[in-house]
Amino acid sequence: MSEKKKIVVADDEPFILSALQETLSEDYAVYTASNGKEAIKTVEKVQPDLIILDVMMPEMDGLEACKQLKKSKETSSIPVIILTAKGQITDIEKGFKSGADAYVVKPFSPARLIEKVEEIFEKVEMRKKIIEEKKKN
Amino acid sequence: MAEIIQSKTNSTIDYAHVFNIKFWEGIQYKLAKVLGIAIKVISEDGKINTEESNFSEFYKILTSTENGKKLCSVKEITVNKDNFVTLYGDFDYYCANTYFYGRKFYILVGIKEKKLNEQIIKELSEKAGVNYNELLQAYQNIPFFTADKLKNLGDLIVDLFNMVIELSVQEYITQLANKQKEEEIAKMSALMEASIIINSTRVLKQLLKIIMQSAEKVMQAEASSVFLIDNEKNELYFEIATGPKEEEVKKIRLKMGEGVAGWVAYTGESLLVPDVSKDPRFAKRVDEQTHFITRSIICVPLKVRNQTIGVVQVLNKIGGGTFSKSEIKFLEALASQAAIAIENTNLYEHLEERAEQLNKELKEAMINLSIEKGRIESILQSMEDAVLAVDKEKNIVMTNRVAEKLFTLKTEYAIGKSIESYIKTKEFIDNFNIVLETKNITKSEIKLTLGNKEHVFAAVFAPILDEKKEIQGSVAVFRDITDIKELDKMKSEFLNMVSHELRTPLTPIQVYSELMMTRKLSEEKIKTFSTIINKETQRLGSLIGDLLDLSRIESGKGLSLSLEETDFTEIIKNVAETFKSASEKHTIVLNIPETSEKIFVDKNKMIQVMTNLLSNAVKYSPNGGKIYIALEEKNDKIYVSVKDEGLGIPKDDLPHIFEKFYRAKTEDIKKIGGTGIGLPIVKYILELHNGGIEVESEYGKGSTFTFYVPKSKII
Repeated sequence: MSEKKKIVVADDEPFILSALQETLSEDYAVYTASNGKEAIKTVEKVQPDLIILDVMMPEMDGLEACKQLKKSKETSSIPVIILTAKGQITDIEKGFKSGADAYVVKPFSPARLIEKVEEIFEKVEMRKKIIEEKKKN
Repeated sequence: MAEIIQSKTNSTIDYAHVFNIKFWEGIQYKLAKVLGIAIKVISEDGKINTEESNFSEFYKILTSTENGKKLCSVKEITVNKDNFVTLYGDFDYYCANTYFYGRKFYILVGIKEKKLNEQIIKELSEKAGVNYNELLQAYQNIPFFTADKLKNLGDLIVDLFNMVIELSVQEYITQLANKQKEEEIAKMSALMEASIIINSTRVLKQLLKIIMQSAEKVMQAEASSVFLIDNEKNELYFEIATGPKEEEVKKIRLKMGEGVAGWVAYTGESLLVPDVSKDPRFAKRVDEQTHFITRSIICVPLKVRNQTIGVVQVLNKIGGGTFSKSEIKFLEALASQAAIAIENTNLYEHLEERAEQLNKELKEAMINLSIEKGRIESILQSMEDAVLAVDKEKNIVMTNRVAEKLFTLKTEYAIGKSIESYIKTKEFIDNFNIVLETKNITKSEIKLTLGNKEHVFAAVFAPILDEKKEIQGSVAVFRDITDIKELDKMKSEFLNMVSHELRTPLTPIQVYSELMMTRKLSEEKIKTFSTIINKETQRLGSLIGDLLDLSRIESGKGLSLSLEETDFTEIIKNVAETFKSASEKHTIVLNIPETSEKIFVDKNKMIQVMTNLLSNAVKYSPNGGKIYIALEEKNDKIYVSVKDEGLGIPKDDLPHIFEKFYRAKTEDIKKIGGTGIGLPIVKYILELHNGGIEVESEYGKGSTFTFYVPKSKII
């Protein structure tokens, strides 16, 4: 078995953060952060395979953090899931504009979140394969 | 053969009137004197009878007695076969004759010579009772002529008589023509008079009376009257009546169609009735009531603009003749003058009335207008909306107080000046242009920067149209909706926040409960998870409690307190305990006595206050730190303070933090969730306890909330 995939999760609510950790830690290596700035730092440090960001956070919110991560060459290819209590269309739009790959609305089912995470990893795998095949050709 | 002189009355022309008898008598006299003859002319009806004798002495003597006069009267003329007639007992006259107007005229010339018969003279003197000798003497002085001479003279005299007849006729015709001319002139002058009167007098009755009097005079009528139609009752009444029965007549009313007047009023056609007794249309009723005898009538309609408003009638020709058809025309002309008079006077009266009415209305309107103007003015001035009107050229014509303030202009200077010299905002000018061009109302939200703050206005631009719907200008009404907009924004933000705040505790609840259901967990984990679920459920509960409180406060129901004796230190300890385990980053430092004086408060509400303040302290110090809770009893109050080392509150936000829904404007604070209802509820609860709350804070250095409650035993 290969090494566990790394996920950075950021939320200012301790219980949500622990809930995310509990949900994902069985299959993934989970690193936590309680705001956007912390999240970026952690991402730069651990180079995760996926980032999950809450929108409303002090210091730097999730959307801003997402934008910055997508701008940086080192982190731009890491998929980002935006996690928010807001479900309105404008927020979803804002999320995608910031470069997010997926969107999960709070409250969420842990099983659904795992599905979403797996889905994203599958897509990443697919893309990798396509790129490799192109390289071969 | 004898011809009886008798009168024939069937002729329409009075020949005796035509014959110039004076002229004939002059000729007859000269003939008799020059020729010494006796001449007598007598018409068959005896109406004309002239005589010149050559036996005047004899005649004088003979007629000096009554009996003699009888002897001399000529009752009938008996012409013998030689055309001689014997008159006055014994005088023989030659009898010639001629005709005039179908009437026979006897022309007698005498006296024929005769042998003196003394016996006849004697008989005459005896019969008359005069002196025989004197009579005889006079008889012997009478010149006599032979029969032949008398015949010749007779033919000559007939010729002369015929000439006189002819001259008479011509003279009559001339006279008649002159008379007709005179009548025409009289009629004309009557009409002229009428029109002069019409233009000079405005009193209708007086005027009509004058007109009718002149009609009577010209037409030689006995009476005249003017009826007017009473449209309501469909009757005719006497407006004017002249003549002998004036007063009686005026009381009478005729039904439409009744009598000649009613008939004319009904048909609108003139009518000449020469003999009323033969006309069934004649209403005898009027004559019966007035004791006037109507013989003939001319009645013509009185028309004003082709509508019959009454009738004019004249009655009975003086002297018994009948009216002629030409007189209808005259009366019609007069009636049309009368109609003009009526119309004029009506018009004048109407005009005067109308002018008076208008004057009155105008005065009222002016008063109403000034009241209305004042009312509108005060409405405009007291309005909280800005009102600004411009003319077609976009020059200011009106502004109100709010507009003055809003656009920093003074009405007295601004009037007549272009709106563009005061307001540069393009959208504003564009709206005026659209309204002036299209006459449509426009509604828009316009942003204007006033001072250094941007205000949002709901603006309505409406056209000002005149009666012809022509554009005269435009009026704009502005309502400052900045606050409403703000409130609207706050409301939607609040809903977002509430949604966020509700979902936030729900997230761990859902995650942990689902994990508990789906995964095999250790005893320890189950305990941790269920503790978290429990805490988050409480958090959710208190949030919902806050929302319900808010809704009670908002709806005016308020919150009810259930007071109990409470040691405030216990509340603080309990709440602090729950928070200690919630955050690892924060340290709660209690600076409170063992116990405090028991006071009457609503324990649960005070827990709510403490929970709110503590959760704020934790929330707004995201990097952790110490949270100090202190309790102090001072005077009659208990003071509690909650101090954190968190973000602090920016100066601009500080005055507003107890306002409901208020959220800090500063970005990094905004990122921390919150509904903006916690602090307002805290304040409300404390005020309900006759307490209060204050805040001290510096941005970046944390905040201290200090509240107090009075130590009253009973509230």
